[in-house]
Amino acid sequence: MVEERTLVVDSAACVGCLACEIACKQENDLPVGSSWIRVHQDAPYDEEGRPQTRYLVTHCMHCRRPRCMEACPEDAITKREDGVVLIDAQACSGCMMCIEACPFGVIRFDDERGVAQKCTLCVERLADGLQPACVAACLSHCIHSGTPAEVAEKIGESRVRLWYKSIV
Amino acid sequence: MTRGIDSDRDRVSEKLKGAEEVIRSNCRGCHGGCGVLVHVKNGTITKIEGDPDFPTNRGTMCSKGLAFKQLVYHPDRLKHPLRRAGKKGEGKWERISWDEALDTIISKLKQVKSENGAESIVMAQGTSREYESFLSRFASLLGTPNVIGAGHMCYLSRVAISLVVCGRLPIADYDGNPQCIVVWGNNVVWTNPDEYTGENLMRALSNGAKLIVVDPRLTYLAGRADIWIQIRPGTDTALALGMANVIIEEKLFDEEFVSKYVHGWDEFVDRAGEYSLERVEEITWVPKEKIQQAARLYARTKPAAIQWGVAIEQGRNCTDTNRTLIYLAAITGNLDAPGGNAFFLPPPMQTISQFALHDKLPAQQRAKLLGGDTFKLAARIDMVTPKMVWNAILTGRPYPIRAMLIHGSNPVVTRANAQEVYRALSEVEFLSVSDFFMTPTAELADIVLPAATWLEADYLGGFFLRSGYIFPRRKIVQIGECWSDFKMFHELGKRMGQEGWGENVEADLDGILAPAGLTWREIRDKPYLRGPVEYHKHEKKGFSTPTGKVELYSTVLEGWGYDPLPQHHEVPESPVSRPDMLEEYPYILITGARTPVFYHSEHRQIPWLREQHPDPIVEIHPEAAKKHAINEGDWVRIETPRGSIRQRARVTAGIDPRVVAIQHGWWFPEVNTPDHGWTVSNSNVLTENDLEGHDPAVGATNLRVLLCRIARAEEAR
Repeated sequence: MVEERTLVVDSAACVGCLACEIACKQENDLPVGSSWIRVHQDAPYDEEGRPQTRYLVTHCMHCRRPRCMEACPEDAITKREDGVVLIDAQACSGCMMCIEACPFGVIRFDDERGVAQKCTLCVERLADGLQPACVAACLSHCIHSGTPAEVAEKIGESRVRLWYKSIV
Repeated sequence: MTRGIDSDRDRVSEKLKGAEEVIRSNCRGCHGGCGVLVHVKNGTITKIEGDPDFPTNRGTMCSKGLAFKQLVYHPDRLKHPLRRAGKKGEGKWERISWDEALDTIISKLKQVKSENGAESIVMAQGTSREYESFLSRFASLLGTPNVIGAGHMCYLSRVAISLVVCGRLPIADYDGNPQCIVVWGNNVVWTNPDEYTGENLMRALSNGAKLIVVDPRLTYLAGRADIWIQIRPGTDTALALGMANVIIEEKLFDEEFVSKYVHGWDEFVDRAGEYSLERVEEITWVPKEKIQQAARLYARTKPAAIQWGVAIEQGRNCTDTNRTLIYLAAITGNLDAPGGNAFFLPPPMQTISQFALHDKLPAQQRAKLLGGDTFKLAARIDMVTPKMVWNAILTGRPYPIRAMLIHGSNPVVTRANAQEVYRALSEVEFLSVSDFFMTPTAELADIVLPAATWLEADYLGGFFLRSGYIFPRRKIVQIGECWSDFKMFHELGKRMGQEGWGENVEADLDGILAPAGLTWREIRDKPYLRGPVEYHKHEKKGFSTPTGKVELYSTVLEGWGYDPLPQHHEVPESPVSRPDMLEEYPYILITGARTPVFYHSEHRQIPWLREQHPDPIVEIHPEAAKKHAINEGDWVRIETPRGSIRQRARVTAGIDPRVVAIQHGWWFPEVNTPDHGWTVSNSNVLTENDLEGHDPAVGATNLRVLLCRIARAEEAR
């Protein structure tokens, strides 16, 4: 049995350096206007009486039940045995139904090619035994990829459970 | 000497199969030091990524390095030498050959040298793309003492004062597992400055190190800190002395170290005693409990390291803040100690000063160093503060400056009092500029030279740093007719008839490496070289100062006529020093907070980076914003007595309501007129460079702390 792969960001440790975004753009040759992983700066807020600057990172969650896949009229979206959700650019008609269906707002439209695009979890790098580009570049080591058990070992069960909740 | 782990290249290639070639090098998108793997297909760079086996960055990288491919192949790169074809600054150029460019420069330099003396030629660089040794060698052999860089207010000021008070710059030793880290005026996770990378800091924090952050702005690190000290800008020396006073009064200092290894303890105790918690709270706006907590946490946690940055150096208190931080490390026993602030030595190779042949500069020429009588610590390390050069150009005193060679610097944007800089560079008789792009500064030149990036030349990186590392960088591609600045100085030197240059640049690199018994060819495939790592050297040799001890009471500064002990001085424009200005200019203006994507005035034309940060940002507290009816995203006019600029509002509670923070380095490459919009959002339109605002010893320029007023700007950019 192939084990499920995850990508989980420990947002509390994100320093907002944007390396993941640029690494992703370089790896996937993305134009200005398209990012498959996004770092959002929150307004300062107080946590237990202490002011914080925090970042929120959004990316494809490779959901257990991908709403994008259900919404795609062309069957262009598949979920692999290892859990990675992929869009087949050849089969994509550019109808944008997946973009509307995605609860996380992380599918982009490539204007030039007229197709929907998103994080592939760097499947080619995975096949070579490498980490996704964003994971490799992250200087705070707050992006984790691996099986849920491997990620849980690094950042704790509770955060991984949160991730599970979000993707079911 | 430890030679770099010679990870075999086969393993790298196998791991990254699919790429035709993977070349190990070292990034210099900023001050550098991150090991990288450069992927090349059919002679073109396809990808730059972090080298997982490299000890400083462990495979991680920043956005600037990851986007560097877009700089290398940018359509606006300067690709061949240009000669001015219209009036100065008119934007008309003709393509010329390298021979014509170099001969034009040489004939002008020879003329000025014979008519006025070599001192009438100024050599200038910015942060230096690591060719400071070559630039200075050219200057020494030319016979001019006048070299300007950023060093008088950035890093070299740290190097200079540490040379005087403890012999060498001590570096936060992350490999030594610090248990407490003080990040002082530094956003290391965005900037990876000098010897440090954010990766090192984040690893230490995830290993449980305590964190103290001194910063007027709520950065990520400030939020994460155990203690965040939101200081009144410009009062760092008072805070540091106040912490020293707590450490002394509560007997938290290292008694053995203090009894054996410091000079002037009693005098220092008296001076620190002037900085009571009450007084320091009044000066710094920091509640006294916080000062006390920070001093206790730093002094009681062993080992503890201080990581400080340029923010404290760009102003009146540069020398005293730098040295008081060193003193904090010394009296707590964290100096020359693992996990504290340690001294690292490079492999045994020529120093910058040796390669620069500073001893070949005749004494009568050295005596002409501009400002040498005024800024004696700067003169000690052969630095000139730029204001002296603008004065000399504009007034002809103390002697005329007729020619200037600028390499990798954009002073119209990055130097204080930009309008004066623009006038001076417009008036200087001859100007050549070497850079990657046509900047507002290059537009004022007579000759423009196309510079190679770190991917286009073989050279040694890390040469000037104090981490003990040396990084070989590899020539991987050739863009147009671009030359490395190393080659430019080498060829200019030879054409001037200078003796001392090798057969070619590689021979010069061999000369640098000769004391280690190595050649460029032997090391070019290695990821790095590193000198021996050794702690507690002072127990055997003492410190390299006149007294052999850490000089809390500096005999050297005393000899030059400066206060031998550190003290707080109000910056020239503050609510304390200029209460008369407050009615008109009620806010403290701070400049220079970093973004993750730009390096000073660089990278505004790099698509992936500019996309992240299209506009210059001014940070304003919600209370202040409300008062002026400024909303998030509005264009805001920021004014000082020098001028007025516009930046876009970020309304944030992460700043004191009395403080406004603007970004520096802004010009607009997309503006096609020769000014490229340098007056629109440039922080240095607002700064002052009056000599009284400079640090009196090292000549640091006040770029950082001023008074301003703000208003919503009706017009867009």
